Amino acid sequence: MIETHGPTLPNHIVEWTVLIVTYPFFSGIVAGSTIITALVYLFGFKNLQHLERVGHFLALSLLLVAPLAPMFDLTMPIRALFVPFYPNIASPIFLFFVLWNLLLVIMLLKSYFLLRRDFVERAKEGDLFGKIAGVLTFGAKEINPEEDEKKVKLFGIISVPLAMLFTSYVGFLLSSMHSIPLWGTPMVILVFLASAVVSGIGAAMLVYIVGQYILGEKVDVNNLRVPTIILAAFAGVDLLLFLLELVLEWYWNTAEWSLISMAMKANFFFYLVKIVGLLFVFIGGLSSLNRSLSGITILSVVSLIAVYAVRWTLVIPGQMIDKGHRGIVYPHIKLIGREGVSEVIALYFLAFFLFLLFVSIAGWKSASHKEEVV
Amino acid sequence: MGNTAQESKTSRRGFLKALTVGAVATCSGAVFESARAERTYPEQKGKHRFVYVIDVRKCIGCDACVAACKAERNTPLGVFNTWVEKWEVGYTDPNTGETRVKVLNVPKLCNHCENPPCVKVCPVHATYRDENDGLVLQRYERCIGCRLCEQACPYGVRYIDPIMVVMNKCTWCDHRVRNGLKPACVEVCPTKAREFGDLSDPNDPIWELLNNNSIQVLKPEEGTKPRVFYIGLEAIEGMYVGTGSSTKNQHSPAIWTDPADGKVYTYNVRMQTNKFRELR
Repeated sequence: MIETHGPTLPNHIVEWTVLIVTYPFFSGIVAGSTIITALVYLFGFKNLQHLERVGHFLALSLLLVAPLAPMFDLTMPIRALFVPFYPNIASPIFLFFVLWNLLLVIMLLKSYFLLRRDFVERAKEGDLFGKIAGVLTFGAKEINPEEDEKKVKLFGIISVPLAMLFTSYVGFLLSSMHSIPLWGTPMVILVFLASAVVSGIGAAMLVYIVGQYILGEKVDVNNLRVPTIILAAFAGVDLLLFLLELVLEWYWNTAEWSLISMAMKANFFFYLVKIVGLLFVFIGGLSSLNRSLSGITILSVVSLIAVYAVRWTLVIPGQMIDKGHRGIVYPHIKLIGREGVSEVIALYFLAFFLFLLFVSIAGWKSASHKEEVV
Repeated sequence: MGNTAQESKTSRRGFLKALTVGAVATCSGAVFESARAERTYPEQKGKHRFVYVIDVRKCIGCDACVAACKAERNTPLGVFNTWVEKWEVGYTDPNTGETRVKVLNVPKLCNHCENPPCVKVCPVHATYRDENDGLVLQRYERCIGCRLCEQACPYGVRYIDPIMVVMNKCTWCDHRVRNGLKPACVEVCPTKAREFGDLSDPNDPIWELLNNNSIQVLKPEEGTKPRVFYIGLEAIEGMYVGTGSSTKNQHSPAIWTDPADGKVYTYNVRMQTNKFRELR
């Protein structure tokens, strides 16, 4: 039975739960990992190229899985295909459709030029993945690495603002709901952006470290210091934005403050995880933790947990506040079924599977990297 | 010869660049222009202009309208197209110290807004405003079930239909009003607290009600231009009514002082009970 507190409108339930929490988490990682792309191609941190490659695989797999979360959330999932056929330009979902398609095209183009050389090399091996790689070369046989890198740089730079727009779209969607006190503020967009950077860098570093560990290769900690410091800085910005948002809510929504605080108390655990986690990443990332591999690994894990809590606190408490502004409705989280936790777990597995597939076809390391090692 | 080839290549590249920039500019201009145009809806000027009037002074809270709606629209268990809220309004005059209490029964239903936020956010135009009569209706066969309209509606009237599994809403009984009848809830109201009419008809009795009474709408600050007009909610709706209720598990009544006349109002609000929300 759905619990309520105080008088609530009879039709009100918390409609969007774990799937809609997961969607901005995925899209945030996509956007955040492009920060490493920007570091490599805009700021010239060439020693981060391997991390950028791993981040790119992660971003591409999550970009493909991310729309499945809101799609599974639909009561009529297959009708999601109606969106381009009956477009309503004023709807935030149409914006999502445009941005997702644009970003996908750019990311695929970047993938092609980034991995073309690997595909050509891989196609020489006769196994299944070699054959797939052969198809993915699209007939290219002789590659000029310098030309390709220029194109990778171009598409990489385009993908940075596009991915940021893509993730801030959810913030745009929530902030356009004027009738819901915790959402109807432009601060939401900034919180989405800052936490996207935190989770994106954290996820890319974690996958990179775990991958290198599994393959028995060494990780150069000095290379990871710059992304760790950026991670810490953005965790600080995220925390600051959250506090600012809290003050804004308290100041502007004075009338609804009792309800807002009630909804926040109901999600106290997530707020605690968010504040403690972001504070730990902020302080730890700027301290001596960024000099050790274990320290960076812990920071990455904590950043991901903290950002998941950020997503939860952005999506759930706002919906709990009743439209009549007199009570709150508690969310009803199912384990199995539509909008259940099982669907979220399935999405994680799917993303992991896609990541493994990309790594299997293109290789964990680039061909040029292998040459250098030889 | 080489120069000519180079020049023709350069000019082709320049042409392609100009073409791309032009196409992007035109498309983005068109997108922004349409988005701007759809931000606020123009006034509805169709053949009919239906409005709904609720006189809360007459409502006795018998819930006959709720029952009639359930029967007429076959509304499933756990969701409501209309409901009646009970507002307990305590009023103390600080000059005399005299305390009075009155109970208002406030029926709620879809406001069929002139500037409907649910229509604006629908990604597939499944929710639309009928330009002929201003009714905000739903195309069930097209709805994808994203529930964006439910989040956008400030009145909490939209819901997922547990049987059709798409969004549904009050239609003001479009199948009846388009055939000259009144909505089922209006038809059964024993005290004529609910009235329905067409503003495009100058002889409609609804004009008399609107002209002779002070009219309020719900949440005017949302800018939705609702078309359900309330009589008898002066100085009540539109102000903060708090989380008040007298039953256990609920907060103590909220107190609000009207700065204009120094009167103190306390509110206890009891909503329609719904123990079957999880059926959706």
